[in-house]
Amino acid sequence: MIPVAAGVGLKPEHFSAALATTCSDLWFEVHAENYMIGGGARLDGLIAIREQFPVSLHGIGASIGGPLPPSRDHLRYLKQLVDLLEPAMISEHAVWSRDARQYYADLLPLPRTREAMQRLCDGIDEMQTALGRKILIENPANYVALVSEMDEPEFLLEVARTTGAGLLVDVNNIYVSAHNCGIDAKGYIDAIPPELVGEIHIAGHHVDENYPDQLLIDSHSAPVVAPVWDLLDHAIKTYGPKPILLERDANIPPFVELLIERDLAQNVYPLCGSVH
Amino acid sequence: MLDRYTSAFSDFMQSGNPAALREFCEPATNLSFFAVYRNGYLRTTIEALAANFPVVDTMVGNAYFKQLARAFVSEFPPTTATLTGYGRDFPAFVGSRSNDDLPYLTDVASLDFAWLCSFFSSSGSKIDTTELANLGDDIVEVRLGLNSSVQLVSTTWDVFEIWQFHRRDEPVDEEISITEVPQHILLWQQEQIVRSRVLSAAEHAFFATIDHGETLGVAADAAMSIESTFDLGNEFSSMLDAQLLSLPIRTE
Repeated sequence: MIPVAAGVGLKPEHFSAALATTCSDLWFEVHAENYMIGGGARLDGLIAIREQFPVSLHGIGASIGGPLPPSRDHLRYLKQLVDLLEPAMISEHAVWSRDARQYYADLLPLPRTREAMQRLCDGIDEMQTALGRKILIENPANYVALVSEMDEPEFLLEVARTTGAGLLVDVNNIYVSAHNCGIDAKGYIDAIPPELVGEIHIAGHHVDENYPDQLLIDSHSAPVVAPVWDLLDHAIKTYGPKPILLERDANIPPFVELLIERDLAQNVYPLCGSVH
Repeated sequence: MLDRYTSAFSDFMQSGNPAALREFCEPATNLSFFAVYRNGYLRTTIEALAANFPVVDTMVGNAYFKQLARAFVSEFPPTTATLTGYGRDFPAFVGSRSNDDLPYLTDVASLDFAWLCSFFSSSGSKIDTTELANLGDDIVEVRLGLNSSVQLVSTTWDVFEIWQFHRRDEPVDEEISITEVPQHILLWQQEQIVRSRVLSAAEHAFFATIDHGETLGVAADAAMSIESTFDLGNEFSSMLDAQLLSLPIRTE
């Protein structure tokens, strides 16, 4: 079980430091696709981490909203990893990334239409059936405003209620989407019922060099910025205590720096009246 | 409608031209912003190739590597989400690109990819040597497999030494030259470390014959047809020490 505490996105280069830490209530999240391998030091390292800490598997490539159903091979390898690690949580993105031509190695947006919702629900059903358990669905970072029939919270709520999946609320993605597409970030958070929220993500982003006033990019390449911390405060006040995960996927600093930033996330819990 | 949208998006990811996506966007949308997705895709795949082919990257320099990788991504895009193994066709691809300065690049890429395959393999279970010892003279009739982490690479150029220097991130000895002399190279994982060494032609025949499912006796015959002094006992013992063999043990 994931503790109601702040965790850290973990990379193999930090395995040794992570195993040596005495930080209490710490948990880790890893990208599932990086461990869908036959074996070796990387997988053995993750197994050692799992023996000491709760672990969450975060998928980035199942393409659950795509024109093709999720790949059966992908789900089979993921199930093998799930059986091996018995992760406390499993999550995926409400996006697509694969068609008959290829895998696009990015999180491509879905229009918020009934048709896309049905496709996403079908993909989630396939994934949950293959894994034999419920998953969490993460809101994407948006860079363009697609013609849609509903706003994103409404879209995700109906997806969650139809499939039984929970929601992973990425407050950095909400901040980036609000900046890029002109939505109300706090209103977005308020529209999601606390009981559907299983996890919160925070991360850094960067300013696009060609459109510095208009475009933020969800790069996970920098520390979390002040407005995203403010949004996390608002989310925790709104949802109550939920597991918070600090993501960092590029320009990765020493592990101790991530722990220091993680402690800042840990410090938000008193805002909801629960002492951790 | 949704299929037309994903098809238009797919076309954009190939071409970089977002014009066909206009009809799916709110009127004020700056279509240039779609480039974030395409840039992310190209960056991720090129970085994956650089991680999977580190010695090629070092030897050609990162600027030229990115050109090579981008051309490869265009011709051989990934089809699965596990980019840890992306680039199986990269060695042949770099060989198909005219490169008079580095004619041995395919061999270097093959070693990089073999290292990767070994690194992400299970090191397998150890063989019970007591069971083998009990076989006595019947040992020549035993069929064993190679450990799943074992990779055999045959090169056209003698690149192993310089590849190994780069792989270990050590300064390259300036005395090393690369000549068009074939090599057989063995890579395997032991105690979570990928190890590698050059095989003689006889050793290579021995390993390759075992890998094809033949008995130790047939493999030894293949080796001795190349090198009459090939010592099955010594070779077998060193293979066991290095955990190169895998179960099951099967006798005729």
